[in-house]
Amino acid sequence: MTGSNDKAVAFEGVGKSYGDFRAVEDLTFAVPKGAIYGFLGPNGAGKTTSLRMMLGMIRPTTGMIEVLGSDSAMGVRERVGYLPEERGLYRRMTPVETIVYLARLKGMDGAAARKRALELLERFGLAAFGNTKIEALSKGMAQKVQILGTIAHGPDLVILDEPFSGLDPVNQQVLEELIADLRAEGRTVLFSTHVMQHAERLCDRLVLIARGRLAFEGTLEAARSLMPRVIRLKTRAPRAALGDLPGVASVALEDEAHGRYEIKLADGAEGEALLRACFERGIALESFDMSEPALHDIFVSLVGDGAREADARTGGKAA
Amino acid sequence: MSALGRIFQVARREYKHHARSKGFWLTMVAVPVVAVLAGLIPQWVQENKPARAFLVVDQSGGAIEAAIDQAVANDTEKRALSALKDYAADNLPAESVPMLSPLAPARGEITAADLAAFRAWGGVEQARKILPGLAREGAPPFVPPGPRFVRVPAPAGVDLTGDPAAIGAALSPYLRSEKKVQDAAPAYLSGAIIVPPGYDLLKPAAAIQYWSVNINEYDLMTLVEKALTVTAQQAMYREQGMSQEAVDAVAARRVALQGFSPDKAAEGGEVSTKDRLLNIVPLGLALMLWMSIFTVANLLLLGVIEERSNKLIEVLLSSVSAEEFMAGKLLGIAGIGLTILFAWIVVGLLILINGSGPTVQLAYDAIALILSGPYIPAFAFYFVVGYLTIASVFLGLGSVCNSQQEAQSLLTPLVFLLMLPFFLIMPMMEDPNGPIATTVGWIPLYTPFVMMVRLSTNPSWVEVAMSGALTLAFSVLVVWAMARLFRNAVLRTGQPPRLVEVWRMITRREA
Ligand SMILES: Nc1ncnc2c1ncn2[C@@H]1O[C@H](COP(=O)(O)OP(=O)(O)OP(=O)(O)O)[C@@H](O)[C@H]1O
Ligand SMILES: [Mg+2]
Repeated sequence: MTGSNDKAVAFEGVGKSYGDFRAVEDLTFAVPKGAIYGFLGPNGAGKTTSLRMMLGMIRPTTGMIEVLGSDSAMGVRERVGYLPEERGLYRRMTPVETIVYLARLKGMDGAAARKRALELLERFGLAAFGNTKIEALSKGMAQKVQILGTIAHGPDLVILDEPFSGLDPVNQQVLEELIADLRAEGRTVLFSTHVMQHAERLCDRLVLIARGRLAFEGTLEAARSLMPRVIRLKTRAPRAALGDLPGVASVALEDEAHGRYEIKLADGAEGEALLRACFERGIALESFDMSEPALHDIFVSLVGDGAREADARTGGKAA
Repeated sequence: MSALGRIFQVARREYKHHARSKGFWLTMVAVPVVAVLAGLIPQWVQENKPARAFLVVDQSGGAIEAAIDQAVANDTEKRALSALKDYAADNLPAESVPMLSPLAPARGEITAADLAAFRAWGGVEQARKILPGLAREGAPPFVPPGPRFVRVPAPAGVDLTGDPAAIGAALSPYLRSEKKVQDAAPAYLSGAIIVPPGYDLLKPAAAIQYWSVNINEYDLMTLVEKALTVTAQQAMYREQGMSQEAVDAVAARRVALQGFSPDKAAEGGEVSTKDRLLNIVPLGLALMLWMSIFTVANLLLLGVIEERSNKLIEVLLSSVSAEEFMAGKLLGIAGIGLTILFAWIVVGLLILINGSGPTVQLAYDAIALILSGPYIPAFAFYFVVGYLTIASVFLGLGSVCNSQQEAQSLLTPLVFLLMLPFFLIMPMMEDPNGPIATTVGWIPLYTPFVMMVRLSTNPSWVEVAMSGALTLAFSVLVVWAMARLFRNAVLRTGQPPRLVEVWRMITRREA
């Protein structure tokens, strides 16, 4: 692989088979350094499998993986932080002990790890619980401790598998801020999620996989441009007049009584041009709504059918 | 950080985690305490049994009753003499012991002649008088044990003139402890001896009857039987025309065998109690070896199952390799095992230092024996090899199980396999260089245990070295196989794999 200086992670033709079943197939993408990168896909798509391969915990059947310029994450593990999808900590250890232990495994020395642990717990509102056994904490609190343990050693690359699940809305917000802060410090963050809003708010780039295959890779903008732009408007003008407008691919009547229409734009057509054309032709508009397509819709349109099938196949086996 | 550094971190956490658990402290302190108590309690119970009341209904004239009284008195005196022996060993300086030594032989049972000598010397009264002057400073006073049996007079109002069955019936409420036989202790009757009319020791017709509700209590019965047998034999000698002196000489006669062994040829071949330790001490060491390995190997199994079911393993494996993790756990738990062993030794020594008496002396002899032979290096080697083999198998087992219940079903056959040498202890002790012991000694899994037991019987050094090399190689192989299984299995979820799958996980080339 070449030009890896600006890449934190690069996958090239990566595949993983379990027996005859291909969990991941021919996956190629690169995570730029300093970016927040989203890993999206329906249940059983192969996200966790890909992340585990990224970390060198399972070996790919085919292809090559490069992490922070090394061909194995194990070689650079001290610069990587990982939050697995299934969380767990030693129940009889305290948050301070846990964070110190995880940081020391990553090569930090004891005193520094301790100082950092106390700092992080303070900053994330867990100072009062620093010396309480994990078993006495709530699930969400334990999860926060684990997230802190993931970043305590100051990793250049942070890999989070569904970090938002299990957190309340306030703590989801806190985590979003934490991820943004990590980027501001120049670190690369890669996370998987089902919740599109998080990806939408945070990600510079994202990859979407479905049934083990790459469905999309690129910026949010590029993802949006894949979707036909939809405009909702209200007018007394006849439907035919709308269909004649430039750049209109289709017109659907939503509500005849009030004259509500949904217009799909042709590829490359702009909403502003349509608005101008309406004025020029004297079509009186009562409302005009051209909000951007939500990532949710993109997700559903790209993987929707596949996701249902995959779910049926795994029969709920994937967590 | 280096691999060694990570292994150390894992080991350290493992050690701290278990060192903080209650089970650890319990194992460390409770085991030696229980062991000591198990040794002391039966003796204590025996010594502190309260005296039991019995009565004698002698319808034959009174000679038997007198003989029984004598037997009970002798019994009490014998106990006093043997307590005096123990007291002297514990509390008299070595140079003053000879002053008392004619009173009792070093070994063997106390005879009538010994008792007679003791009585002639002055008995318990004399001991009470002279001991305070002889005993070490601060020694407790000599307290002779009380009688085991007290003959009580027949309770008033009980008709003792009928046949034995009628007397037994009349005594029934007393024998059942429904009525007190006297006000002072012992207040309840534990047995009654009924001698039928016309009973003659020389020509016994009907049997002497022993009545008691406790049919398992043989002490009094045995005592009376033995005493009356001797009385009867002596009466028969006299009837045959022997003089009383001759009869007494016969009674005092004692024959002892002395054990010899060719291994002790240099010292004249004589075998002492110390030498018998040669068989017992290595067996004790082997048991200690196996038990300590078991105790901690189980911790490994439970630990891995916890890490798997808590989903901890994935976080850890993003920081350390499966092999480093395994090595760290093995090391940390070995530390726990060694700490426990060390604590046992310290507690044992503390008990020894504060104790005294023949048992303690024996323990000192055992220590001297251990220090004089190849036992310590052998123990260290066999511990390392046995621990690595067994502990890594337990780790491997943990890596394929999701819960303790799942592990339990797999553990049972495994534990049986590991306990097998226990069933061979008897044949091995009887013939330490025989075919069974030799064969099993070559099975790598059992070499540490078996060779530890056999070490005192001078097996050929070729055998020791070769079987040692074999078991070491086996242990390396097992650790290697378990490391592969661990790496491939530990992140799996779902049902535990079948045996073929386990085999595949160990042997296949790539994970
Ligand atoms: N060890 C394994 N053996 C066999 N199949 C596996 C194994 N691990 C994962 N799979 C399969 O691979 C597929 C991808 O699983 P993966 O856990 O990567 O999905 P995911 O994208 O993380 O899903 P989710 O969003 O539900 O977490 C699933 O169909 C799963 O059943
Ligand atoms: Mg997943």
